[in-house]
Amino acid sequence: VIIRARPARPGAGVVAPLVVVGCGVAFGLTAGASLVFIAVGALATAFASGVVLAVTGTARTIVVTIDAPDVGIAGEPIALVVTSVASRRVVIDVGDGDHVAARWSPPLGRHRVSVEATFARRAVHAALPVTVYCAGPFGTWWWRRRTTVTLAHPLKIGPAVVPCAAPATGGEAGAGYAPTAAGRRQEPGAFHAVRPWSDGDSISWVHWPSALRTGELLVREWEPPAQERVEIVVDRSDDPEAAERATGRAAGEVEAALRAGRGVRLAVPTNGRISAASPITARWGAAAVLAAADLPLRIPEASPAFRAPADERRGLPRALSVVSLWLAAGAVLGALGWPPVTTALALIGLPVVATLVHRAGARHPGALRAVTLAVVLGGVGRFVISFGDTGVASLGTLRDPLVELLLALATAHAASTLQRRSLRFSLGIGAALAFYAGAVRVDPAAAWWLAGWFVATLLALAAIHRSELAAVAPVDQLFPRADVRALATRSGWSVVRVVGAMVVALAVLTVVPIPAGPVQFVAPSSLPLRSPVPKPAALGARRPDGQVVVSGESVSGADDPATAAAFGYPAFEQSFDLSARGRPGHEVVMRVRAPAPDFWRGQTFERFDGRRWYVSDSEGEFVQGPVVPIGRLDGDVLNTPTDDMMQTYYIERDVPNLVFAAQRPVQLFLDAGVWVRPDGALRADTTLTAGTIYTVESRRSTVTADALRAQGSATSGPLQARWKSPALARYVQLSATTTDRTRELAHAITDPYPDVYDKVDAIERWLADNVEYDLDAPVPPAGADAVDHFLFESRRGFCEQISTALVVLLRSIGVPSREAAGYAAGQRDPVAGVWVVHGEDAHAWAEVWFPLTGWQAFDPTATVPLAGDSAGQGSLGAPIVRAIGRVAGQAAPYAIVPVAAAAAWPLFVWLARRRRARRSPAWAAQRRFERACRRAGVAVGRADSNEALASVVANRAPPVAAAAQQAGSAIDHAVFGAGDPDAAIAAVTAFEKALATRP
Amino acid sequence: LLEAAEEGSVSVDGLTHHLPAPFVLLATQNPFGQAGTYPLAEGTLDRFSLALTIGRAGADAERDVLLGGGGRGRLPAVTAVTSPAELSRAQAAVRRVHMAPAIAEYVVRILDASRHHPRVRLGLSTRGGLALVHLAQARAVMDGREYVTPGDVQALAVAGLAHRLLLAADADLDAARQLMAEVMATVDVPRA
Repeated sequence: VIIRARPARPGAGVVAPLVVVGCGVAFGLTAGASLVFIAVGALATAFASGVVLAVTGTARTIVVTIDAPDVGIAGEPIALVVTSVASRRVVIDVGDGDHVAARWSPPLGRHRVSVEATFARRAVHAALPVTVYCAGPFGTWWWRRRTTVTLAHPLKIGPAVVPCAAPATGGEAGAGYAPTAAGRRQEPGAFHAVRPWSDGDSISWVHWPSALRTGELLVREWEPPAQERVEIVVDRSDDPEAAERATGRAAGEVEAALRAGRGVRLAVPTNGRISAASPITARWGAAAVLAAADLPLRIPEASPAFRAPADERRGLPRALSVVSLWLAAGAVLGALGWPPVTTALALIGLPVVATLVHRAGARHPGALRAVTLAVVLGGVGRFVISFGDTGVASLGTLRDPLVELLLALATAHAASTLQRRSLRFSLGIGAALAFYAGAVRVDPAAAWWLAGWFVATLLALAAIHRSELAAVAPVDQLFPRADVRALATRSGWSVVRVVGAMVVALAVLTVVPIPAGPVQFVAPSSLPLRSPVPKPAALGARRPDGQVVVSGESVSGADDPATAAAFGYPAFEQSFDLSARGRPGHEVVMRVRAPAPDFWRGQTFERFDGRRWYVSDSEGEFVQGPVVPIGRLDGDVLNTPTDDMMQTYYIERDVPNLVFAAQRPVQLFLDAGVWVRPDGALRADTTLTAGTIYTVESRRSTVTADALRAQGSATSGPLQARWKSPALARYVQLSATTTDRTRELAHAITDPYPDVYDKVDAIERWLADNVEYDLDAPVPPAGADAVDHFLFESRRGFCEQISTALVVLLRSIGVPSREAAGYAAGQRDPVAGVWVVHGEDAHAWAEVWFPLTGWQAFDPTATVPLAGDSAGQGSLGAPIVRAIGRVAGQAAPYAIVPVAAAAAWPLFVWLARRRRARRSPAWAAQRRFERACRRAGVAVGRADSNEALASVVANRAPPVAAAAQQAGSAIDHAVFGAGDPDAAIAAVTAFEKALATRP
Repeated sequence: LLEAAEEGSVSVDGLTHHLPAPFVLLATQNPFGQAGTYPLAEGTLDRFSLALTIGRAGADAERDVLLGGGGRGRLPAVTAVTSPAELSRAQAAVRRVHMAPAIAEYVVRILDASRHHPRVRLGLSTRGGLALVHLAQARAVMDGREYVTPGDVQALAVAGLAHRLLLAADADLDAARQLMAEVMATVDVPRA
């Protein structure tokens, strides 16, 4: 019978994984971290493959045959001998209405076990309802399949016995009622005759008249009393409950009478009338008669769902759960940068509490519970308070309180209960922590933590499920051998399938594009070390000796290398000289979590004196954090179409107090005082040391080449007047050293084009064609204009010179522009989903003002002017595929060996078989014989001899009996005697022919 | 009894009397009326090659008996078909039936499986295996073969081994036979 498997308990088992996965997706979407999606995907795949295994496990062959005794008594256990063939670990229920008569978990493979079953009520079972439950390797979702197993003979369950006193002699045992008279010592029956006295006769039995008459001691002899044969009639009633009480009472009476040594006759109604009373010699007999009685019987149809036993004392699942939770907590704490003491307490506290509770066993340590309750209340309180405190409600601002709450919950949970379900709950908390860690961590170590967490979680789930199965009523295995092998094979295959599914899922995940990134994710600012800049609004940097130096006020001469190194890049100072080129190193400066690449701008330069760029003299406005709104800036244009971009900067190495931001920043989240300068450059009042975290919200204008071109220029288009805005006069100022040939060149390049965008484009193209990028470009000679020297003498330069040339050329034709410095986007870390910015990504570019869209960056150094890569492109798999391609390219000559081996393997197997067949024709004959037996419908076991097989074939297909027996004995002759193998083959051939031509 | 069963001799007062060859020891057991008898010790049981339950005669045989075809009247009509010497030679010939090493290994595996079965208190002895081999050889001869097959071993394993198994106290010979069959079902048969 094929019956579909259905979910057994679509409750917590389904909802909880969905909640956990949903939680992970939410974290991943908020933070744009691929790592979270990988973890979520792997977990979801593990759950899904578990469900598939459970469904196939219950849908596959589960053969159950039941040998039941003839008679049982309600409420008393009987032994069922059950043969089951299970391909997966299942739980089998034998039902009895709304009651489970027996539940056990058979070993894998084919087994006969003795199962204790207790039926609740009187009934005659011709067949037993059997429910098979299976939950896959992780036990999260139980599936069930129902069927009925027909018994060889009906199982009669007698009523539960109502204890009764033995019917007193001479008592009137009415219709199912207790004897009415009892107590007085009565004679056992009617007077019958007298007989000689013998030992044991009561003195009161002496019949004195006869004794006197005969002179001999004579006693009364009593006729065996009619009451000694207790006759019980069960009244038929239409009320099922009354009928049950009556039958129970009857069973009790019978038992009491039997115990008193009475003969019993039992009369119960069958087919509506009371037939002849049947003699009963044992309580089983009474049970059988009463079970089959035609009395009203009520069996409820409802059947209870399976719930795994709750009690959990085993150490392994608990230990694995703690490991999983521990790894998740470790991943989070590493990301949050908690003080080592707190971290150590949290990481040591978890296992210690779990161990204490495990040791305590059933006794709940009251003090521990009180402490953990206090911890939880504290965590909740802190969570609520911090929620009220922060102005910005987002996941990131709550991260410390959220993690504290989760950890407190996990610890308290570990302390408060011993149950298996709660272990799953704590695994769920761990999953939330792990996903959170994936969302907030930006370093590659997070991947290892999460991988460890993932493995520990799956192992813990599997261990919990195993202990769940083990806790189901143990069975008395009549024949448990070969179990170990089957178990190992089967669970091995399960593991292979689950792992395979996850590998496939991860492979699929790698080609799914990396998520676009944070929609609204404000990580709270973190300033591990405050080293205030001594001068207000100044640029400062922290030197390795701890001293904070201010740009432009060198402590030991103008070209102090230590000071220069502290700023990291010449353009991160108050002014920078075009003839000096810093050599930033390859070390990681910061990681930026952002949905798209952009220039991480540090500051802009306004004034150029022919050699040096200078920042604006205006100090701007001081705003105290942690939330720094950035008001009106120079060159702002209202009503520009924009899109918001959140960036979180994780500083890895000491940098000056420049706060980097994509143009144009509108809000900064940094717990420090910040000078907001009119060009949008942000200067904190402290240098930013390694470990600093801050978030910037930027509003980027969405532009296209056409949109820029449409804005015309000072001499063309509808916006001519705006181009000549006096507020921007300082962005068209040229240095006095600017040469005429520079101006002429500017006009020569740009005059053919009416619109500013095309003019910029033309200059960039000219630069690309006529200038070479060269880090070792010659420095301009003293006194010469650097741009003139670059454009007409050396024609070689680096990004600062190239972008300065662009700005000067533009200013020569009256286009407002300025020099910008900061970092290029860096490389995208596909796992963490962050941009990794190295020292050598320090960069300078130009910004050109447009009347409708404001300041627009142009990078003449790059071939693509507007930005680096476009947003969210690429996938996790791309670098992997590239890496594989690279490795494959190198290893191609060596790869031929395993590939050839794999290709040759089937050939090798075939050859080996053939060789063996050649060497031993008897072996070939044996194989053909077994195959023929299978064709004849006979299962070939490893323990079946050819003789046995032949005789089974003979029974099943008599026409081929002789041929089968001849073939079997011919093979045996060849193998064990000195027979001719060719004769064996001939005999097998004859057998095969007989089989093929049988009617 | 042990000496007679094993060595074919009886020692009385230091004097060893050899029993005539061939010597066959048969013991019978009635299912009822066993009051006053003692069960045989395990060591003694192990000396018996086979334990068979004959049961009642079949309907045909019973009819023959009732029709007078059998009974004491026919005893004089029984004639010798062989001599003791010939029988002894036949017995010796049985010992020379070829037995492949794979079959011996099979028997060893059967003995081993019985010793590891959880419901067996005492597994089979080597003597049991030896008896099984001899029985299988005899069956091969009766089947007209000069070699032993796994089928011979399987056919005689229950009859030849079950009575040697020591099970739980309340287990009878039937339980032992069933268990022996289970053991046989787990042991791989030698194949080509």
